[in-house]
Amino acid sequence: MKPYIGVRELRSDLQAKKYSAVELAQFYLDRIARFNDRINCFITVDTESCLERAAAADRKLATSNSPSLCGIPIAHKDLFCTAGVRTTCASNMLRSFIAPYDATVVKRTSDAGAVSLGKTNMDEFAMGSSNETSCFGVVRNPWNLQRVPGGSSGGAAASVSAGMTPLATGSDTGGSIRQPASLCGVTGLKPTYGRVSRFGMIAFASSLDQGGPLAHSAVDVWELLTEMEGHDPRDSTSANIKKTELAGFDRTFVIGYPESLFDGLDKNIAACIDVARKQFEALGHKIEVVELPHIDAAVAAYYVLSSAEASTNLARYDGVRYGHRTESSVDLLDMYCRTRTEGFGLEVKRRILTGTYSLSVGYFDAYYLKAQKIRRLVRDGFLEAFKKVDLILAPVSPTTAFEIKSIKKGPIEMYRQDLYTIPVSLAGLPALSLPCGFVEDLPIGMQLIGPHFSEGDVLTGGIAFQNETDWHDRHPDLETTCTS
Amino acid sequence: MDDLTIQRLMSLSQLSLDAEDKDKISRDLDAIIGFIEIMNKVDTEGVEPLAHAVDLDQPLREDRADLDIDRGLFQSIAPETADGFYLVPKVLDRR
Repeated sequence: MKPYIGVRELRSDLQAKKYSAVELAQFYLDRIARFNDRINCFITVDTESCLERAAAADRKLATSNSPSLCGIPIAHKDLFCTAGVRTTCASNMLRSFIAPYDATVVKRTSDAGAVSLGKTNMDEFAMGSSNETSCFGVVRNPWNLQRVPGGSSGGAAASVSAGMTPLATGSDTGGSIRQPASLCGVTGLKPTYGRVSRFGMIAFASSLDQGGPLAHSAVDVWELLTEMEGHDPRDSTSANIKKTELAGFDRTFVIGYPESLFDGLDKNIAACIDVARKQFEALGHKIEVVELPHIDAAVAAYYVLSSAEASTNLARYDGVRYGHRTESSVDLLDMYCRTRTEGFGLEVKRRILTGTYSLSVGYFDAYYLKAQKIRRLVRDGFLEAFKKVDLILAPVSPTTAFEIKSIKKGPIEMYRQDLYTIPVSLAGLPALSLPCGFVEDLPIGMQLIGPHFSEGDVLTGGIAFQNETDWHDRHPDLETTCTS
Repeated sequence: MDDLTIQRLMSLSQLSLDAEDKDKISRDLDAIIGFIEIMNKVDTEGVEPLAHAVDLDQPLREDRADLDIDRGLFQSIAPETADGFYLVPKVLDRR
């Protein structure tokens, strides 16, 4: 058995009984046991129930109508609630929280036969771009253990990159699937806001949060997406639309190229994306220059809006119904304050205070409303561009994976990591992050962005690119990186 | 950011910070506020605020009681309960 196998091959191997679902799960569990101490991408490994589920999958595989992901391992980001298995959000606030129910994403993938290996590490409450804010410690990039995997779905991206799982779920509020996918050399999709149910996904910024898949290829991302998506009566913002279908591969796209985004970009990264642009042209797609206005202001608007929503969402952590409660307090208000002070890490406190500031009397119009107006301009800028083009090709991250603890100047430097992903989030658009080269032995990715609910086109473009290139088939050598 | 503003934000957020963290966060908030001032360079005269980026109907589910919810299960994860109620430190001092 080998660690990097696509969903279709796994499916046919399992159906042909080349190995059982139990053997497959055990293979990945062994790999996690061997390498997770160094990479730290799993917070919780659920060995016993994983093997039970795999055995159940084997029984289903013996019948004629097993579901599409039957017996295929998956890892869930530790903000999706899992009944019976702790869900920590990488926070001391929820260190021993066991949800009484499954998130819709967890339930749907489980109903599709996927076998959960465990829960992956992340930035605390998904607030971060480097996985350094986790109370369970930083995740290390499988390509170079001195470097970050990106964030906030750093554990998800690293677990796929390290061949510890073929599929992973993540969530993306301002780039949290796309940036770690880029830094770890895997493929990840932020779906259109509303494509995937948020029920049971612990909230950070409710108007932006969106769950999505990570895998070794765009085709595997599609396989997982079709089992995650769809209307959920328990999430009234989930869209009632049909499942994602791929376009025909003879379809040619007009691909927008936002030249101004590449002006300040690292030249080596820009060169890789330029090669990809030419490959798209060689495939028969047409490239057209587009303008995307207000990108710089988008990052500022995002931090105002997401922090405001976070300050509201995180008010629920009060030590009353679940999660951490302080051991000693003199009265109710003192209990709230001590519980929250002990439970939250510094970045989460910073965002709550920023959000509280922008929502408070006297500042609401200047910050929160102003940010919402910029959000409209950013979204309308994309909608205008999509009148001319089908897809937009853009960078994901301004850098390759950076060294752990190297961003020290303060939060703004870290927030700028998301310069290219945030505008897409504000606009609620789908975007696929896929590998397109290497700079100094570190992977880099690019984004294919589409109009609302155009995941079929975005993924078709990604699959067409990956049919012609092998960047997504390159994997880190853990024998070397983890033993040196 | 002056001490009074930080104190007010901490109080509104039900957070307390030791002197070192307060100093650090105060400097960070100054930097963040300086950074978000870039929004003022954008002319938003006449632009309507946008709360959700995707124009969607909001399909609400039927309003009916879900009897599957097990109070005991949900309260089993609470720090302290008694007789089906959540317990918290006393609010009023009865003297």
